[in-house]
Amino acid sequence: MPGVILENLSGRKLFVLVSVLMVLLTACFLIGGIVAPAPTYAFPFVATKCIDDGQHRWYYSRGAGKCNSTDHHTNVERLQEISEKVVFSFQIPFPRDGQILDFSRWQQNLIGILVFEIIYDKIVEMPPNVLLFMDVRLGYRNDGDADDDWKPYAEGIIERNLDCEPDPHHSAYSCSMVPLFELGSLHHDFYLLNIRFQMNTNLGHLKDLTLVGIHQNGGFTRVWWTMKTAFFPLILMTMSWFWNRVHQLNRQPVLLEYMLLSVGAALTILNVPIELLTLYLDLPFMPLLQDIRQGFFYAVLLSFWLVFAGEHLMVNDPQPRHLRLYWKHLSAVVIGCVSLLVFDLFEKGSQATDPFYSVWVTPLGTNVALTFIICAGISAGVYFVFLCWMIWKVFRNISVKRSLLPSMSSVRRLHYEGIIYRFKFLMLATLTCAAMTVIGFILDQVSEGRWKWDEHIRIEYTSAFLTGTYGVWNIYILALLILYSPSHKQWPSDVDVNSPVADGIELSHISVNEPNEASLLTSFVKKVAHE
Amino acid sequence: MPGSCSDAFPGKQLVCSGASRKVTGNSSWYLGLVGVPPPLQQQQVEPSSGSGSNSSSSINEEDPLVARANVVCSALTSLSPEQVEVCMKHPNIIYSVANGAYKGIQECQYQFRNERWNCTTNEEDENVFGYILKTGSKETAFIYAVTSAGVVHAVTQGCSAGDLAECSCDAANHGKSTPEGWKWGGCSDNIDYGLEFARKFVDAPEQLKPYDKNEKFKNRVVMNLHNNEAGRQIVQSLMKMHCRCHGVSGSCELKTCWKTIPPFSEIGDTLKKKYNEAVLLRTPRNSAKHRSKRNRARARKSIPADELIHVSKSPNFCKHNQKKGILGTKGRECSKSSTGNDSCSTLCCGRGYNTQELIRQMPRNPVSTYNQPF
Repeated sequence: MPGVILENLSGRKLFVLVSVLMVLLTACFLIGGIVAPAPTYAFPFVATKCIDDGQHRWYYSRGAGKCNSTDHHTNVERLQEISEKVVFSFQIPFPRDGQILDFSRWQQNLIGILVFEIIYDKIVEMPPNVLLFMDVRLGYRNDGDADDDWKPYAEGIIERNLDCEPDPHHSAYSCSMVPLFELGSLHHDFYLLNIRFQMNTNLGHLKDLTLVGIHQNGGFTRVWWTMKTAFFPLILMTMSWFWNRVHQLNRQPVLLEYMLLSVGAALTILNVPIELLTLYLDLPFMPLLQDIRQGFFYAVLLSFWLVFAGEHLMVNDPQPRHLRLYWKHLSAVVIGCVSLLVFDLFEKGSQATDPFYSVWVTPLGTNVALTFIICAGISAGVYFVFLCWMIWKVFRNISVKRSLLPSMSSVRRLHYEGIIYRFKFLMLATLTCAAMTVIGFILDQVSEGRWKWDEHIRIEYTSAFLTGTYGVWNIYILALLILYSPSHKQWPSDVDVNSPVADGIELSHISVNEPNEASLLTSFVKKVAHE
Repeated sequence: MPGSCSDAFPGKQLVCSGASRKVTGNSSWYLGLVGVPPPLQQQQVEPSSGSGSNSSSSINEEDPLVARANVVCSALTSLSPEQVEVCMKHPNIIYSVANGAYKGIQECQYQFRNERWNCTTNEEDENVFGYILKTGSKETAFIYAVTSAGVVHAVTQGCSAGDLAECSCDAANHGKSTPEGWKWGGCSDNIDYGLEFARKFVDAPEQLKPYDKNEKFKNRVVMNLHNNEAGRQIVQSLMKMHCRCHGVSGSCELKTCWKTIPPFSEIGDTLKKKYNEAVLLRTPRNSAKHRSKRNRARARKSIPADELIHVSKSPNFCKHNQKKGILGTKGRECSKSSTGNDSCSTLCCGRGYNTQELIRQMPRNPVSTYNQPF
């Protein structure tokens, strides 16, 4: 009976394979940590306060036709007088080193957050929560266009919540950040944002308005896409090799093989570097597509684990196994993923058409969004309980039946012990990958994103975490595809091993009856179950 | 009931028009603190309303503001030629420097509003503070630190506001020049440029002083440089980190952080604490025990960079001394109920105080008792 490669691989070959994969994994971490810059970059832009001359035009701070602005040092009393006639203008990016900078398409996306600097005044006290009504206009211009040739990108009157608490000692308010927009594609060179506060907005003594712009770093995009482009053909080739081997067998592929192929396919879809198109086309829905691809991969991977554990349970069912058997377990995955998909479609899908849209601004939107997220969270919890329960069942069965091993012949015992060892080894690999991701994530949260080992080597930790995690799961799937592809090597046939001994009789019987079983371990476990 | 200090020496009474003179809006006066000599300050170097918006990349256009700044830079005799060149190249920055020094003095007056020395400025004097700046006392240390911090603060804010196109991007980490470096991995924080610039600009006059000739003088140079650096270090240490999560579905899988500069009042509070704990640097004059050079060097080394140091004790701020430019505390408002520095016994140096009752029309409290100097 053909087993899988994992069972037939010698210890030395397994070691070599694992070593090669580990080297590949280390390379993934290092490329992120050393070559790539930080994944994203945030920069504050303080608004230029243009005097509104009543015309419906663009107000910008540099170049021909720039607006009349108040000075940054204008005292607050004066600013209060004119605040109704001020247009807050952000012409980004700002020049640096005396040179004009323009956005690059490699920078991918732009998130805008507003930070309010409000001076505390006992006389004009602010309510703790202010509903802001802003008249916003976002325009763009490209290199080579005239200075005043701003073209509209998005506009509207938007609502945001601002929570401020007074800090009388420092004579200022500390206010919450206000998310303003998310641009899914950074297609143009220059952007211009004009903000007017509507008359009914009570902002007290607004001293300065800062826009924090967050975009992906071009260098990180390059490294990231390089990794994707490298993994894409690698996984694709391994997949076809795997499927080819399955087809060489004179039997139908089994469920576990279908699942492995699905995981490989989901990962390949995730790996396709379609983001490259953003260098040529304005594709604001790209972040949504990216989220969907990633979500789909996770959904298939989670399902695979469930099925993998389930297929190693000893169920005396002679029927060919089908995914339908797992509908109860998989419903948790499906509900969770669909919830997140709906939420993402709302948030990112709407942002593809209106960058100022956010589900979080209205109480209804917040509640709906929270419902979906909580729903996904509950599903994740249920899924985790299911998975742990199944794995525990597998291990319990293995250990219970293992006690029967001493009564077997020494050749067969060694053989089965090896299978159990390698099965556990793979469980360990899965746990290691999961643990690495979790630990990496925690370290990422606590670290400030940059680690210094000595003066010359600086490690961008967040980039290393992202590329490393991406590498971990690619290599994990790669290893599964290789180790779980059917082996063509014939083991010393079960009959040879077993026939001289009394306790092996039934094994050959079962093996003949159930040619569909891929794993020798499963057949072993089932045989023991029969006894 | 509040009161005001009386003068213990009636015979010598002089009329002090106002002990706590407020800083006026013209910040040109404060350039004296950071190495700009007095003749220049008369040239009306003040940020005018246009400077905020015209700092685009084209500094070549014939702008009267730029032309005036060029005049300023070429006259900065106390700076080394290299630094004059920096100034000529980036004339806008001189306004930020002046603004920073002004900010520092405002904060100084706020922090010391209840002390015997209330950060008095005298606009007729070449360096605004006059005698106090020469004493080498704790007060001198505070003035140096607060103005140095002010320059860092103003330049950093100028960068964030886009006023200063010359703010460097410092893409050295990526080995690329500005546009490419920025597209590869962004720029360094604005504070880095603020610190770098302040180090070059504010420390320049000290470094040019004849160093070795006089031991006392040398200590003053060390002290000034240390306090300048302390001011900068405190700004840097008070930088606040803000983060935002924007991973899949808004998760913290991807988190971006940035630093923001604290309000200047926070820097002032910290500097005031450092003023209270300022370390007296031992010199041959004030310490017979620590005579050996090695000991002194060690003592100097062990002082953390963000502590203030001074070389002499504070003068007596109680009595008026016209020669030294000390106004004295006569006529200052004091608080009878307070136990701190603004209590009547402390502020009036034990000379007693007079109580005055005044009825004044206030915006919110229609009638209140108020105290005034007589």
